[in-house]
Amino acid sequence: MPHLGHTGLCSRRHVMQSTAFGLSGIAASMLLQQDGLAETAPIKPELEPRSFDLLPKSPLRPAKATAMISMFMLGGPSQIDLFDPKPELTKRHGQTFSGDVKFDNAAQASRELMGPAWKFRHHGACGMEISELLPHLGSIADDITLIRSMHTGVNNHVPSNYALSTGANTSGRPVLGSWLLNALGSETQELPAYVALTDPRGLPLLGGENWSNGQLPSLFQGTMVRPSEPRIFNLDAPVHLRGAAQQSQLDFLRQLNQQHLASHPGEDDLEARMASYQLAAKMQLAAKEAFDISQESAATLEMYGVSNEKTRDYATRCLIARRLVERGVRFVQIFCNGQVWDHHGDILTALPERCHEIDQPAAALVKDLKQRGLLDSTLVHWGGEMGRLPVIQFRDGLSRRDKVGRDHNTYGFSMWAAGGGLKPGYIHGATDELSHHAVEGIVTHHDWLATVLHQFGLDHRELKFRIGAREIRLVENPDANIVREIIA
Amino acid sequence: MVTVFSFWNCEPSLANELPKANPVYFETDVRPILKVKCFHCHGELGETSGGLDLRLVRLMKSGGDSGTALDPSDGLSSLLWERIASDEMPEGPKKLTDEEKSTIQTWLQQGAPLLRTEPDNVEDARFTIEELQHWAFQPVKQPDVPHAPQATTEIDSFLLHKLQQNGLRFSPAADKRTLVRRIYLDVIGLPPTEQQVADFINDTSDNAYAKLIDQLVASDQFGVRWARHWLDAAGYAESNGGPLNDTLREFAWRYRDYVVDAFNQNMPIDQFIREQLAGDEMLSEPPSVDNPEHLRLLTATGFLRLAPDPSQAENNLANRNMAVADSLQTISTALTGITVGCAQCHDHKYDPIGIDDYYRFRSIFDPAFPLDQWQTPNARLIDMTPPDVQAQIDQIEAEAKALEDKLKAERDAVALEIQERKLADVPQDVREATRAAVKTAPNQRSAEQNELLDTYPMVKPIPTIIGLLVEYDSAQYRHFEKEFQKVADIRATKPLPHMIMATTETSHVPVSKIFFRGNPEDAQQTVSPAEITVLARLAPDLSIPENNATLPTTGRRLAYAQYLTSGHHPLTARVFVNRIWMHYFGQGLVTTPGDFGLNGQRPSHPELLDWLADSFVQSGWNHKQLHRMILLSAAYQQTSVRSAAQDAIDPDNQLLGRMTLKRMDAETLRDALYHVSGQLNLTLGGPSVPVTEDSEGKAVIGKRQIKDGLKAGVASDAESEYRRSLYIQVQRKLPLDMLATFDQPVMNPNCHCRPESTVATQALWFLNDALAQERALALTGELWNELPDKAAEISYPPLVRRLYVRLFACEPSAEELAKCVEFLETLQPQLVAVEANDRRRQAFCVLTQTLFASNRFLYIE
Repeated sequence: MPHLGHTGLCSRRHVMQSTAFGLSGIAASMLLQQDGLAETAPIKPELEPRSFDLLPKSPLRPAKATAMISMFMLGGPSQIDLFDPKPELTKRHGQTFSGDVKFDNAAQASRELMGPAWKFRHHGACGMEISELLPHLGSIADDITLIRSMHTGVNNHVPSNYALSTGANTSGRPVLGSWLLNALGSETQELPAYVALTDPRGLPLLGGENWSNGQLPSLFQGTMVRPSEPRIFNLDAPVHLRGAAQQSQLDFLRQLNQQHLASHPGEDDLEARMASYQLAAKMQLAAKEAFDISQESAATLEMYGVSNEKTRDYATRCLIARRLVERGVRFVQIFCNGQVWDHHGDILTALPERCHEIDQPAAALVKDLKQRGLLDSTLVHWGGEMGRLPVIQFRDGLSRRDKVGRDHNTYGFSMWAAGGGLKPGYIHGATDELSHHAVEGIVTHHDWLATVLHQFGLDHRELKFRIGAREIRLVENPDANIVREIIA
Repeated sequence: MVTVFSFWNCEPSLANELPKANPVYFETDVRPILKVKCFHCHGELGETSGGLDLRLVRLMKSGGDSGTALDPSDGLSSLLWERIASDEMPEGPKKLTDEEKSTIQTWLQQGAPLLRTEPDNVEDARFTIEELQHWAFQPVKQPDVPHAPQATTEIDSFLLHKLQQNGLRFSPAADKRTLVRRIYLDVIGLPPTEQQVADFINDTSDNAYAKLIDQLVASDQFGVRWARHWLDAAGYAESNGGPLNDTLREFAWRYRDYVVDAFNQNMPIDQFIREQLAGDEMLSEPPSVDNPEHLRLLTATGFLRLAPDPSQAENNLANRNMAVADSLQTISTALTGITVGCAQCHDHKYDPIGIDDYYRFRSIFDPAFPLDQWQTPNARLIDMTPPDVQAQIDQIEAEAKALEDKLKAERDAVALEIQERKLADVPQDVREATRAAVKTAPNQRSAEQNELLDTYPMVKPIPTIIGLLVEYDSAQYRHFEKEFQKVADIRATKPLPHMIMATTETSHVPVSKIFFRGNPEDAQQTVSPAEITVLARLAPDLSIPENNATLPTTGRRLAYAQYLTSGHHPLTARVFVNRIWMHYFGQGLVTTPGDFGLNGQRPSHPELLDWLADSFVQSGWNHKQLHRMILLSAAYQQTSVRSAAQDAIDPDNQLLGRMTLKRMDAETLRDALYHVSGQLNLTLGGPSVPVTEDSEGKAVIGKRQIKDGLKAGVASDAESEYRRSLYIQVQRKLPLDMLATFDQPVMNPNCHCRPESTVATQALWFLNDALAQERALALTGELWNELPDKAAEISYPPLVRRLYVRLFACEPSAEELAKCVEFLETLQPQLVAVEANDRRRQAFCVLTQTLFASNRFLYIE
């Protein structure tokens, strides 16, 4: 039977849950606790009722992970210089590469092989080799799973970003976080269920598309948390009303509404609306508390690098991410601005800088979660939408060897994950001898997303959403494989 | 498999003999449950899983592969009950509810009784007499107006009669100030201005109220308000929807303007319906660009094209079929309140509508929606641009093209230079060979040439360099981006072509077939166009032609439209008057305005509904008169305040012993927030105000600016921002943030009842949103600017009085005034972030915003 839409007079409950349809921008996923505000008797069920809410739901199977923090490194960090040492490449540094290669930036392309400019070291009991640019990551080598065989095979940043976030390389589809909310709801009712933490220097490339609910109800959209006030649109009072002024305003509003209610006794709707203002105030407090890292111990702040100017911004976001997960938020994304890992022409200077900014905070996040016993249930992810080529890109011509970089590579790249039931101190898969194409244990975006869902107790073949006569899935590819090898 | 319709013991006389309550019967109680939950596998469309058919008790007794399913002498031991009670059946997630199980249990305990003998042929049991006798499928009656003392209008007589039967009466009339705010908001969707309030209060003549009704119904804002309601039922949106890209329908707005004009000109509603269904078939001659009637008739048929149509993004059979199915659903629910669409895959689960009925009904529209000769939404636009305008368009295009060609030549030259620079990086010994290679067409190159170009990947042909210009030479890229913008600017000065999103037929008449299980890949029996059988019984003379030879089109839709508006269709008028009633009283006489079938609600006042429908038809489907009639009733003028006595008997106000307190809908709220400061732009018609996403993902008014191929801010102007909400572009995937917050529905495909939510995001919007602040500041500024001497210490009370009148049509009581002033005085010293000399004004601004947030503003009393 086709979906009928609103042919019946909807019950209040249904209405409450479906209202977030199309609601965008402001804290859409904060529409909780409405139940009980204005519930009246349902009139009659729809033929095919479809209502949506964010109440917590149990997955099909027992879940290893109940929350996820994704540190998305837009631009494509160089696996060659960070995660995937290749003696053969080092040996052939400067030689001409004769194999097939796909350039996204033909204008500055060359076939001259370039080995990593930095040394790799063995870390931890597992002996994982990691670049000297990421010393803190080295210190948690025994806690992470390194995947050296990622592959999306789609051109350029935007499609590859879509592929890893939404399962398909086209725009308009729901991202992983929205699917998780759709399937699992949220443990917290006073904080947004899905949070995107953005960089003070700007939004990531594609802005809001990175946390878009696509065709899912906008209840499942991520809520952007800005690095400065207003942290969440509309959540806090405008500056001139902060403090006593808004309290006076709310008190006065309550008086007005009480007086109005007195002249309309028995109107539940009016009471419900008064209650919605109380809930709004509660959300303000809950969010303010969650974002306030001053409550953290000096040792914790130190571990993340909050006091260091270079690492402060990223450390703050990592720490907030932990605080959010602690308070029941389902999915947190931490973004850098633009596509700052896209090193076409300045890899020698920019890559160390980027690494310095994020290395200590990212490692501290894993350590901190582990100390607090949260790592088992929190899946941490660190990675970009692509890696880079083993050949040189000459940004300013052949003579400027200080202004070199690497072009895009979606055929072989690395990322790491930790917690959430993954195998710690483990390296999965491999690229060819030049770190060009993934050749062993290839993990596609479909495989990765299916594995994430699996850790949340969900089945990628079953997780779907009906739109008219169709169904969409996060993982549309029937050949997607759960990467069993990386599961503990 | 699908047989000709026949009815099971269809003698209406039986109706009066139906046993009441307690005893549970198969036909009335058990069969409806099995029909929804079990027939799909056990009986329908020849499907008898496990050899079991549950459509008749006799067939249950004979059973299936597992033996007899029912032994009436010991029903609770039978297989039927065993499987149901254990939830083994039905398979899948949807089990019977406890209530349904209990009904079946009682029936079995009573020995599985039947009301009447079962037919010999099971196909004769397809629909029951109870289904066929459903009230909505019977002709509209002309009920006598009941006698009710004190009633001044017929509407009141019907309502009072029923109230009195229940020991109730009307509530007192609302006071004039409440009434003036209510009627302005209900009739034109705007709160009254200070002057309008004063005019009504000061008019003490007996007919002051009647004069106000006439004035409002004659206002051109009446059409704007009531078009909004119709556009909900019609599923109006300006994008194609579907799972992929939500492509725009640039010219959909002409249909919106058609509706506004039709309502403002009081077009008879029968004509309004005919034009929307078959305007193209009503053309007496080939359409001419300078015949306004032709343009109107074609524009009206946009109605049939409003449903989501994903074929624009992806033109495949499934998407075409989805577009047709959604259109059918909109048409049938909007005009007749029948959910015919539910019979697309199998017989309707509640109403006596077979899958064959669905495809016969759909066949009426098939020539306009031919799946086998489909046109995508943009391809089917009709160009009715007048020749002089077309000449202007052509001239501007020629100018743009000339500049474009010149720039392209310049860009080619730049690309050639770049190519040479890149060749200079190639070692001298192979440079000439590489040059020759890149100049050779790709499919003509030798293996050696390909290898050369592989070895020197920065050397590319001219078109590739142009495509990657931003990477080869970003300064040149930006230069040309700016220059090509001039071409776009020239093109932007073209006058609008007169494109119409219309519905027409070609000479191709598709063969209509039943799609097995709704699957268009599985077309089976051929069907002819017809009304659904349960309604066709009432119209023995109705004949829908296969192909009317006297018309250039098939004439199918025209014949159907004429029959729908003949006054004899049982639903057209009932459904329309019920909608108008709903918008005035907060709920319809039938509270499910899009479903008058068995799954819908029965009318609270069946006689009144029929009387209204009949009077409406008798009046010549006079739209405005219907409004006047309702507005003049005492029922409409009652107070909305509840009384304990009434709540005890009728808490949901079904008997209408008072007015219902209504919440402003999203558009009314937005319009009101602009109107109270006098800034709302009341212009009618024209292309919609664009909506776009700002960089942080919020849907806002304006046009997205693009720089280097990426989003770069949003441009907007006050003139557009201040338009009424009806004129804001409706994109299915990008509803304006403010409107979505207050429950503007997404049209998938249409909406009969606005959902209403009460959520914290609305509270946060009123308290903190930039638009709420801006509106409060605008109103404050307006009142402040009118003050005679700005330097003097400003006295709050006169300002608060004016504010109250603008927001509530009412001056504050002495107590309210005192409280407001007290709040203002308390607030001032707390505004520490505001300059001391601006605190009086800012405090007033906060008061204004707080009153916006108050329930008194948001609700219509």
